[in-house]
Amino acid sequence: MLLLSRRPKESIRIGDDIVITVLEVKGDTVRLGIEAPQGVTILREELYKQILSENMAAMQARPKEEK
Amino acid sequence: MKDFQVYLLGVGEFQAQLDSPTQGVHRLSAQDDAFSMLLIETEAWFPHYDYKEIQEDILAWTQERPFTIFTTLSSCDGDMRTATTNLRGPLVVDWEKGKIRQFVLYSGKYPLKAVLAGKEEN
Repeated sequence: MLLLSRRPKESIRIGDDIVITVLEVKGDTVRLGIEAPQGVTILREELYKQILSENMAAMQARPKEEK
Repeated sequence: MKDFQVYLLGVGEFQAQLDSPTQGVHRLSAQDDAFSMLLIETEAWFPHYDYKEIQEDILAWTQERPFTIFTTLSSCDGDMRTATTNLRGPLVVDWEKGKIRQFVLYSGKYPLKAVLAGKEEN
């Protein structure tokens, strides 16, 4: 994993068109601003995992006639 | 039966076929037969389903071609009364381009497991 230190209002760039900016650091919370092309899906990790889990659950579903 | 290029979060892209084994329920089957999943036409079961927050993203992706919103079924086990559907991660079907892509509602106003029991098709 690449580790970078940034201060508020500083950014990192991923590739040519994704920019993540530290907007605010308050206690144990960091507020980030993310600029990315419209087609890029940006999710909190926990939501990503929940959606993935539901997708996996759906893949196991089978219609009755296949049983 | 029609072929689609599908993108699902965490699964990636795959080729699949979409058919309708029963009324109102569709089956998406991976071309390599590795898996299949059941889908419902969301607005038929949840007429007030509101996806406004991702409407702009959908329109950008479909470039205003006709589309339908489906959601995945799980916990189905052949009995629709026990089935739940993921209203948080709808699948948008672009019929003309033969593509299906999953979007995510950020707001959290819809659950990942919405119960179908008691819902009736229009």
